[in-house]
Order: sequence, then C-alpha cells, then structure tokens
Amino acid sequence: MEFLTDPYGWWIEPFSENSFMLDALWAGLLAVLATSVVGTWVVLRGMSFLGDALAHGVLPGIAVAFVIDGNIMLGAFVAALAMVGGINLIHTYSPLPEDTATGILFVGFLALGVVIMSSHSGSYAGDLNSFLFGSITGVDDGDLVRQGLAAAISLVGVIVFYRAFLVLTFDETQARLLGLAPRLAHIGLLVLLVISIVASFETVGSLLVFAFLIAPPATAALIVRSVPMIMTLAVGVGSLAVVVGLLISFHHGTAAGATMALSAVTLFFLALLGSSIAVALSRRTQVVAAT
Amino acid sequence: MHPLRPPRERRARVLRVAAVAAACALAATGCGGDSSPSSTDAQTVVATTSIWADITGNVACDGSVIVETLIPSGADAHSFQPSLADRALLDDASLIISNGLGLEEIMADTLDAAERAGTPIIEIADHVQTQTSVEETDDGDPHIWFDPRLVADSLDVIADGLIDETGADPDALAKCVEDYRSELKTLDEETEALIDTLSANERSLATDHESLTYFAQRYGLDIVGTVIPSASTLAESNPAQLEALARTLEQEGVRVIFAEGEHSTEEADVLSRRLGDVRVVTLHTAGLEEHGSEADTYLNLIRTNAAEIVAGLTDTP
Repeated sequence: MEFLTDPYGWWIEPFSENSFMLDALWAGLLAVLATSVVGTWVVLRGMSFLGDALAHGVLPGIAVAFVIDGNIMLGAFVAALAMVGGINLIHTYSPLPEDTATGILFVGFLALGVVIMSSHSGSYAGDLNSFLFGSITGVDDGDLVRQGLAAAISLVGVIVFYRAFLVLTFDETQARLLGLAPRLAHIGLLVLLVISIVASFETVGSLLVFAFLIAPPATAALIVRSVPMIMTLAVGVGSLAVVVGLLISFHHGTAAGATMALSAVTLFFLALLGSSIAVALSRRTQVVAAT
Repeated sequence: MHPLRPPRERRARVLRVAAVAAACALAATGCGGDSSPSSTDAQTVVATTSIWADITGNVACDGSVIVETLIPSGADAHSFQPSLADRALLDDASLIISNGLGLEEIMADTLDAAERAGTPIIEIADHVQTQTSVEETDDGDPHIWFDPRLVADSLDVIADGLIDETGADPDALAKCVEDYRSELKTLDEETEALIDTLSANERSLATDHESLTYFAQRYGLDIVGTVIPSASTLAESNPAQLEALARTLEQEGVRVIFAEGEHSTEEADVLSRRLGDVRVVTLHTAGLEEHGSEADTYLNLIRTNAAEIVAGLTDTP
C-alpha cells in the first residue's frame, strides 16, 4: 500500500533520483507511442495473430546478423518484410485462409532463427533469449534515438494514411471504389507495423512489443468508439502500463519487461470489468425507466 | 568517480541489505569478521554471483564494505533477467565484480549501462589466465572458479579495486588477502591430494554442460564428452552429438555424467537411462547455497564438488 501511503516516494522519487529509470521510461513510452497507434489498426482489423507472428518473425534476421556480424536492426527489418511477402505469396497461390499462412511462417521463421544460431557456435540458442525479453534495464542513447524515429514514422504514417486505413478497415469494397488501392494500404500498414516492432524489440523485447501492440488498443476499444479516440486512449493506457510496470520492477525486483506486459494486460481486464458493470447498470436503468 | 547518491528507503534494497547482514552475522567466513558493517558509512560492492560475492567478502574480511549478490543463489547466471531494482543496486554500488566470459550473458547490456552510468566493473576473466573451451565458441568456459589457483590470482585485482573505489584500508586488505590465499592454497592441495587417490583409469568423466574444464585441467581429469557442448546452459543438444557421446561413453567406460544444479538435467537423464549403467550426479556449480548447507562458501563448494566427483568416479556398481 506504499503507493497510496507514500505517493511521492513510490511514484515520483524513483524517476527523479535515477537516470536509468528515466531512460527506461523514455524507452517504454516511445515503444508505446510507436506500437499503440499502429496497434489500433491491428486490433480493429483483427490482425493480432499476424502482429504476434511478425514480432517473432524478426528472429532469423537477427540470427543472420549475429552470424555475419551485421546490423541487427537491418536483419530484423528484412526478416519481417520477408515474412509479410511470404504470407502474401501463400495467400495468393493457395486457397488457404491468411491465418494459416501466418501460422506456417510464424513457426517456420522461429525455427529458422534457432537453427541458424545453432549452426553458428555449437548448439547456441542463448543469445536469442535477450531479444525475446529485451533489456530495458540497460537502455542507451542510440536505443532512444532509434525508437524516437520509429515513433515519429508510425505517427506520421498513421496520420497521412488515416483515411485509407479507415476505409480499408470498415469497407474494403468502398475503398476500391474510392480509388484508395486497399492492397497498397494493407501493405503500407504492414510496413508501419514492421517498423514499430523492429525499433522497439531490442529494448523492450518482442514479447513486450506484442503486448503493447494489442493490449492498450484493445483496452481503449472497450471504452471509446472513434478511431482517433481509441489511439489517444491506447497511448494513455500503454503509458500507464509502462509507468506501473517500471515502478513495480523497481520496488519489488521483478523482471521489468514482463511486469510491463502484465500491467498492460491487467489494465485490459480492469477495463473489461468496468465496461461490463457499466453496461449492466445502464440496462437496469433502462428497465427501471421502462416500467 | 561517480557522485554518491543520497541514501534512499527502498524495500527491495533494504531487504537485500538485511539479508546480507543476517548472512554475515551467521556465517563464520564471508562478509567480514566480528565488526558488523553498518549500512550508513560502509560502501556497497555488488558481485554478480554468490561465489564471487563470497570471495570478495573474504578479500574485505575487515567488514569495511557491504558485499551484495545480484544473481540469487540457485538461479542460473546464464538466463538471469535483472529487474530495475537490480539496476538501482548496480548504480548505487561503488564497484561491480563480474565473472565475464559470457557467464552473465543476458544482463550484459545492463552491466554495460551501469558502467556507463559511473559504476566501475572488474571482470575477473580479464585478469586471470583463462582458457578456451573444448568446443570452439566465441568465449571460453566461464567457470574459472573451478581452479582455486585462478581465484587466488584474482584476489589482488579485487583488493586493488576495493581500495581504489571504496577507500578500503590497504593494510587490512593485504592481511585478508594473505589469509585467504593460504586457505585457497590449502583447498588446492587438499583437492589435488583427493583427486590423486584416483587411478589412471578412473579419471574419465562426462559433463552435462561445459562447466568443469578448469577443474579437469587443474587436477588431471579427462573430460571425454559433454551432453550439451556449450558453456551456456541455454543451449540445446542435437541427436547426432548425443549419439556420438553415447558411443564415446561406452568406449571409455564412463559411468557418471556430472551435471549442474541450476537447471534441468533432462537430456543427461535420458542418456543415462539409455546407457543403463551411467548415473547423473548433480554438482554445485554456479552458486552457493544457504548457510549451513554443504556448499555455503566457495571453499566448501569446491570441497563438496571434489568429494562428489571422486565418489562418482570410484563408485563401482
């Protein structure tokens, strides 16, 4: 109950007294900004599974970058784009639904990543672990610059293509009639998705990237209706999850990445509970009013 | 030098300090003699593993510094994920003692960031004569503490670090180092004498991971095979390796696989069942256990392991 009895000491002091807490906070907030706005479209269009697959589909690229000592971000980016291309290929040349194509490539890319790493130095799967969970306890300036750029690209992209994404989400036929090229918009969205994932996974880990991609927009969608409101609230919810997660990790020594992910999921269930109660209450009011 | 931050009241930190203080109060060897360190004036040194914390405590046997352990006993150093409380501990410390050679692989970023933030790090592997592991990997076998002579070689580096960073008394520490060095020498001689009771054909052994390279080299044992040929406990095995290992073990007549207590021995167990007369013996490799157990200090850890290894190698079914 210290967060109630000593609010300054629990909520503020860790950030004001420790520069690494501020670094972690910035890394977390930028990750939320980059992922939540793009994640809103992911949630509204029912592409969560694809988001998860992409978050793990970066691994073979990281593995190759590790082996040839190349740029890890570039490797991750290429791998994620290759996955998007592969899913489109399977979808085009087979009657199978898109989630099957996604699933096949998800497991294929994950396995490929581990196999490449194991062929590298004996049987070595160790280093990949740090990419699943990230290292927000060791953020440096380069991480922040990279994440800031990605957040800016995501924001600009979502604003510029707002209309295209909106029509794509709610009426694909109309999009075609309006000349908005739904296929192009779809690919544009996937590229933004890849950018937000790749920029954030090294700091916060691919597990947490996926949590931020889905949980805050889903939470916001329970509470508000319009897309800009969902995006705004999603950033707010995600930021709250970051702050609470960091503080719990700081005060109680839990793993930072997983604590933030868990905070985001907990906020979703709180919102679900709250909205269910609100619906039940309004129904009762209506019943009372009708009698 | 990094500026001292004002002392703060944080539960995790206070609990840790209390736990260390309690351990020091109970332990005969360890964090300092009779003078119990007070948390207000004594500076904190963080060691990544409990083994290096114990060794550092013996170097500062005058109780002039508080030695804390980052990776809890029983946790696997290879996969340990630090929390932000751990990061605070690192940043507030005057000095960090790490093993190096990839032992702290997952938290490498965190250690680097703490160093950038101003806490100096001594990586023991940089200061002693290390060797590369059997299988060719980027790093050598990080389990350098399995050769007590290398631990003895590290004492001066630790002492110099403590003197430079915490202002510990050089004369007091010189005395501590001298005492502990002679204890390590005794340990080394005892272990050598114990292993020398083994005959030439009792000296072949297999390990679960590459963790006994230093021990084997020091005391003339022959590691004929490793279930998972990597120093990392995060690696996987593959069937061809296991098949080759099974044949080697049968040829060499190896009857024991020595495994590490920090993680699953599943693959070694399967191999042991398949070969029938091969046992899996779990050693204490990477961390100390609670006070009063047989591996509560570094010296006891090596003694216990040496006894287990000799017992395992001489045990005729």
